Amino acid sequence: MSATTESSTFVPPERKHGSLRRERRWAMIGAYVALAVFIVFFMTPPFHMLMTSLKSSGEIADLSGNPWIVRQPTLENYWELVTRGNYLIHFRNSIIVTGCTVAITMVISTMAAFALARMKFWGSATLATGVFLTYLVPETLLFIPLFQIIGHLGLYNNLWAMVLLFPTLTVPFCTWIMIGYFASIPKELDEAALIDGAGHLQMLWKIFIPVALPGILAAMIFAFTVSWGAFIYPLAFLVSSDQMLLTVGIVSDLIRADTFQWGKIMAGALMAALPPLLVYAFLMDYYIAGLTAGATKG
Amino acid sequence: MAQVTLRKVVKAYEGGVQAVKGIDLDIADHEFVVLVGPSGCGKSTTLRMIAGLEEISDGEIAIGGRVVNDVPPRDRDIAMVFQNYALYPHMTVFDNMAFGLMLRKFPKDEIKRRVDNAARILDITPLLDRKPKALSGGQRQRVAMGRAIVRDPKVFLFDEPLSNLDAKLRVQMRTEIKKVHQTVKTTTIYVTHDQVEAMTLADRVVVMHGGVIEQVGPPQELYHNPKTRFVAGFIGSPGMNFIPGRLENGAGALRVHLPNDIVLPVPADRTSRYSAFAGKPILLGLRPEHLTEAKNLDRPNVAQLTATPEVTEPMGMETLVHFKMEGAEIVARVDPTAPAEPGRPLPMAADLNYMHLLDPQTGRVL
Repeated sequence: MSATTESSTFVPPERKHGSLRRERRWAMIGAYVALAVFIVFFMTPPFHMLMTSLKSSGEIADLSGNPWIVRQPTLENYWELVTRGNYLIHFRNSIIVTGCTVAITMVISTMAAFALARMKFWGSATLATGVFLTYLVPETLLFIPLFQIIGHLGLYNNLWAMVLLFPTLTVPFCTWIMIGYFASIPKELDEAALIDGAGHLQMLWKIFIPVALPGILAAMIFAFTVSWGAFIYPLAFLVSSDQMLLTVGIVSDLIRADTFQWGKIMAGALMAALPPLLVYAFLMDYYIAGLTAGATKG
Repeated sequence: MAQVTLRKVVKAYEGGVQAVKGIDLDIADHEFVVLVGPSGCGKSTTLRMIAGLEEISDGEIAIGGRVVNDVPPRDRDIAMVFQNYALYPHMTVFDNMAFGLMLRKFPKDEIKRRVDNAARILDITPLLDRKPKALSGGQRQRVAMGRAIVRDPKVFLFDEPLSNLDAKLRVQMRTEIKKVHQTVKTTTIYVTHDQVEAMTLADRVVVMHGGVIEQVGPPQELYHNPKTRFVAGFIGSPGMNFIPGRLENGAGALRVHLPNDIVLPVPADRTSRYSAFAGKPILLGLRPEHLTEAKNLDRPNVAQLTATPEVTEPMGMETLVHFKMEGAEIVARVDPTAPAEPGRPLPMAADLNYMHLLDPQTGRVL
């Protein structure tokens, strides 16, 4: 009885009130500190690459100075890369392989995702999960059996083997991303299109692709990034310099025994990072944009 | 000619659940029919089967005399307006309305003529270049209607088109839909759970419940002559009151004995209709507007009773008075000047000219 009385008369201690403005200011300070740490952590390697790429071989070898400062900046490393050696061939190969991979991936993934998200058929849900599970098998395991397959196809040391192999990495995940996007499109949109007279392909082309563009671009960015940065497969299947892609070409051409051409390696890596940067910069707006606004009651 | 005929139509899902249990319905050319009922009654499923968006499990659906069971939606010559508009977000209003015509390869000038005409009917001409995200809810619903009108289909299907709009806009759009139907006269099937929408729009209302049709008829007929307790309770706002009682025969006249020793005489012209049920328990059905403050007591078949209000709801032009009788929740509509106050006994008048007696076992109106 007394316990009941005590609990019913319990008054919580008065909460210390701070002004809303002060709380907000502390939150902002916290956010900026976290952001500063993040920037320092992630920008240090590219900054070091840039500094090193602008140094001559002599300055790099001289360990007496501050490694973060360039005393006599030079574009010699960049110039040598684009005028001598196979760097431009590697660049071209990467563009060809990545372009083809992205194109093949988008065609297969878009159609597969549309079928799995919208055309209900027996086993479609299991198949959708299965598609994702294939992505979980690491390429470090896959390249051994694939070595035999590629050998049988006569594509060993041929960059077109990469066009065949990279989609096995990109298609499952891109399909998975797009299944999610397509599933989020209101069902009434395809029903309206069906009643308007659209077939399934017309529905995909005229309704789904434009509406799911942010998702498709997200998948495209993923396919591009995976293909552009792939290392294991090119290392395993390509041996001659004229067939190599940038990732493997830079390290195999610019490292001879224990001689590291650090200036050129850094310059080559920086230039190789440019295409992904440009892709991100141009597609980011689309990536973020919510094109479905206004489609249905929101 | 675009009659729509449903014969023994069934929709069964995996696991044996039947959403629609063998309904028959004939909808005449140019008719505006509203399917109404609570959630899960099968009204939307029925509409979707007519549209071809759901396969039918059994039975037959015919549009314009042609059986369309296996005909895809695009070949049924129907147009549908969805609850959430379903506008294509990447297209302008013009393109949204023209999409169906473009797919059917109509000439460009014909498409423009039809879109302009529909836009004029719906008063959305200034919006033709806008995208859906730049429109208000009401404007989006007009565009959705425009998309249906331009097709000039045999049948319009509306799936709860006003449910996403606020109350004021809903009333406004309701009038718009009625005007459009009076202009284009296309056979229309309209689904709603709002009985006011059903009553105001329909030539005939189809009341559905539990996958079956409870009653079909013009709004006034459903209101005044419901055949079941469900229809009587569903149509009208507030719904009909049901008071448990017993029908007794005494001195050649039938009387309804209600709780609290209230005895109401059955109008003489109904004696023969009800005499077979004398001595049995019944439910007295009386609409709130026929249970008022004590007035017109000298009129024939108007009886007096006293009730103690629990809650009163002033509505402006009337006051709703809630009270209980033998556990039954009763609502009466009284004049706003009547002395209705919670806890204070209020003399009331029951107009028995409009009474209904129901069998409590079957729920049928006697």
